[in-house]
Amino acid sequence: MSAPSNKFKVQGVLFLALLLLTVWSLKNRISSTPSNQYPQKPIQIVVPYLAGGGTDTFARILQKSLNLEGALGEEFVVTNKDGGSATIGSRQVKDAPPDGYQLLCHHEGIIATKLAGVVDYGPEAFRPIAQTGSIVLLMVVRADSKYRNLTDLLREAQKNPNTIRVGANQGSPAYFICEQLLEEFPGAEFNFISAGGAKRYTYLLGGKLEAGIFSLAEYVSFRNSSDASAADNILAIGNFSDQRHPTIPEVATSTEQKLKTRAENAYYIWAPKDTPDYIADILARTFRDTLDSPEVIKELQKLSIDPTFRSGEDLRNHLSSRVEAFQKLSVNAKTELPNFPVWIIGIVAVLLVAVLVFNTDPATQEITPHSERSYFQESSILGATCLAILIVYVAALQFKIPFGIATPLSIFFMGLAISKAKQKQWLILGMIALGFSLALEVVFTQLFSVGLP
Amino acid sequence: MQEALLQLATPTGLMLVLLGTTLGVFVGAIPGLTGTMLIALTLPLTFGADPQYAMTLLISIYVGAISGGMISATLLRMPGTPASIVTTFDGYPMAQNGQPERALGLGIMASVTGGLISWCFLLTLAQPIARYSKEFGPFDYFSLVMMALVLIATIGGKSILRSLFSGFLGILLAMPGIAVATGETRLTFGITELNDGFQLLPVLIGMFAVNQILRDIIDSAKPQSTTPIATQGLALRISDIKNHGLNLIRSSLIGTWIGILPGIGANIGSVTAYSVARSTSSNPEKFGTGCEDGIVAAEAANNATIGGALIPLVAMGIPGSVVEAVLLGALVIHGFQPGPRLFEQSPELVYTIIFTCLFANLAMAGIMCCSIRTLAWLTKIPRAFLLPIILTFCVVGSFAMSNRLFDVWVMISFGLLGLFLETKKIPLAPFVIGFVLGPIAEENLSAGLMGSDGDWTPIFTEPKSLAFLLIAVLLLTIPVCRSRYRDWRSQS
Repeated sequence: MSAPSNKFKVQGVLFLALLLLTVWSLKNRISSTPSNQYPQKPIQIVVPYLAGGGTDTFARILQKSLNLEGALGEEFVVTNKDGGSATIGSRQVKDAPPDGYQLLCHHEGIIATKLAGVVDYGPEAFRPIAQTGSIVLLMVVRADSKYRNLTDLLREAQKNPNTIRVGANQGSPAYFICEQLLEEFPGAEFNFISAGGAKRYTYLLGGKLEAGIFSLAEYVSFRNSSDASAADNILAIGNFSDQRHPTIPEVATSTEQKLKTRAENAYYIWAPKDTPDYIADILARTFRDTLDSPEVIKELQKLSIDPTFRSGEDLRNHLSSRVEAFQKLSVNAKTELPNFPVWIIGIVAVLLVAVLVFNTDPATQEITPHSERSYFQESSILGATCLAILIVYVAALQFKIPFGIATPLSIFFMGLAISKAKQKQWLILGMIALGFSLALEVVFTQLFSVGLP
Repeated sequence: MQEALLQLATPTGLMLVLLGTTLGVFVGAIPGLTGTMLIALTLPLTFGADPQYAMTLLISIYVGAISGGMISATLLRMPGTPASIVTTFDGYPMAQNGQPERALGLGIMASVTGGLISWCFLLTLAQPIARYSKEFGPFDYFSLVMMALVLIATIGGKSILRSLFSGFLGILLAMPGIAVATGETRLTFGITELNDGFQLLPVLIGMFAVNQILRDIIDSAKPQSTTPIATQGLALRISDIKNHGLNLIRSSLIGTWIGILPGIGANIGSVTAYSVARSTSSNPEKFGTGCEDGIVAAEAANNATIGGALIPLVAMGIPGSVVEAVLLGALVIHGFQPGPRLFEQSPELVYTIIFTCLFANLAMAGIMCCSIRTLAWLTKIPRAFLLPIILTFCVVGSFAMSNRLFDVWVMISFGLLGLFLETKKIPLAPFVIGFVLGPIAEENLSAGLMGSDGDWTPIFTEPKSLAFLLIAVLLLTIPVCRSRYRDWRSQS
């Protein structure tokens, strides 16, 4: 009888060790000494797009240099919260506590989403910390296009309205630039076709679009070598910033082409609205120093982003002039699109009725094991119990009960329910529960620096 | 080319391929975690590394994860990506019939073949093939998506009516959030978290994993009827190559060809290949009951889409899937300019990507073959231990994708919806495919209509668009006609 009892002892010791480890890791998380200095914990830079996008790349370049210099003594961490035309991430920072630990890195899309009616807040709902770089925007056509400058293109749009197909999502910064251009040529109309990113490029090459707005970085990377055939290449016919850019000195600015439209996009760092002055100042200074470092300047050059810096009053004035420029223009759909939701709801309803009426499916003749009466009650109670444990578990996480406590408990009880509380499995279950949640926590928080609930 | 090969053939290079592929297979096999997530999380860790090594690691994960998805799809009926849903049709029944090793063995063989065939195209014909992807206009994409929807409706269940209902319900539930074409929010009922709609990952995990876990829990109250696992070694015979050769090559070609189309390929490659395999089979009624041809078609096409999708990425800088968008970002962060000139500017990098793809496919085959025994044993772990852990993975996976608990609630809700639909005999595969493809169809139809001033006729007048519609009709009618013909012949 000694062998099983020994096994039992080993399991008991292991279980206790795991329990101690869990308690220790929890204690570590809670015991941080409070004081008034800023910053005391890592600062999150929220990027409202996927990892690997333009904004993300930009933020990560800044992050790399900020952490190398160790300017504030605390780490900067980039978190991606993509989706909803960048409003998921922006809303999170807007509603975050104004303590300087959550910042948003976002461009002028933040103005556009408000004007397009996606959300009811714009730059005014934030405290702008700094402008950290500007993006040059270009009008681009296929290289064998007959339009060699902006005026050609707009004249054609005036002569034959709605024939020039331009790729721009409604309410996007690109869309606003086109609206500005069209105002200068009364009667001119573009046919806007929603096509973002790489699709705009393929459509342009495939002759599905006549023109599109690209950032300098996109243009430089999509441009083919000069000896490629013209049908396989793209050509910028107008630069919307104040002066020609050294990377593409041959492209004339819109001002040189005697047009009033000027536009550029820029990356800004935003904080929650009530962030105190001293935190905003510390942050603005830190970002300014980073933008001065030669490493960052070199990296940004590769992305064709100019490291312009603005903060304080200068930044506020700049922003309000940008908002004004956007506001003058209206967003209105040009083509009547079918009301897709209504159509789909209709189709679903018709199909539902059809399914109910023609309920003579061959499958109903099959005898499924589900209908075994005697076990039916017991099994559905078990299912409901486990579902309840799951719901309580997620609710506990929602109410900020630490992951390290809620997870082992939920695994343990669920396992207990499924095994019908067989006593000899208690210890193993406990060990699995503790070991597994500890391992998960270590992998996510230590290795990938992602916070668990 | 030699330089890239030399760097890959170093111990470090091979180690990274092995590490990445193993991690990918492992993570891909865990319901709730996906390769996309692992790549996005690993990306920041590679910033300091040599760019070629970084790409080697990331691409190995990509290849490993797509193949690993097969394991959970076959053994547990919990697909990790929309692409492996089709594998569940025949893989799971076969595993349930006591042949998990044979099911996995066939899947591995098909995966490797698919991966290698598409790799050949990637190596030799990347430039000319990539050009063809730009010939596709919005209406062509729309018809292609419609074709896929019709196909999934015919293969996913016994009643086409129920499948269609399921597919359109999926499209409907993909609608809340910001409309792609107009930028307006719709059907969110004032819930701001819904601005981004329901995310694919929680919906997929909910529909399949959570639903299946609840089902397993309920079933566990019943007396266990364990089917003995047939032990027949690796369960692959030389004759398999002969029997499945045609299917393997055809499905791989379909996968490669569809994989090239950005944004769509990875999801519908396996659906199309499966559907073609069924239509051309002499006994289509066996599909869905544990048919070998079904597994082979699904997995060959599945892995072939990787090579296909890498073609526009290396040749034109256009990402074909979410994973590739992240890979593209990795290139940018490491100081490269993805685009048509990547080939001439940094050929060593392009060849590193291409050869990693080859090595990772081989490594994947080795790893999977070695672990097949252990994997089949997975089905024997007591459910009291296995199910709570998988469920926790699902919770963490849904949460970690965009760091919000809302997605976890979405996952649970869709789990219940899935359970409900299945008890009403409504198949789930069309739902998920509809959910994935609905927004793509809408985006392209909108773009097309904007271009044609509201005119719908180009759907039938554009040659490519018309071709897809015809293929859909053909694949729909062939099985019916053939069975009619057989009936008629047996009568006369």
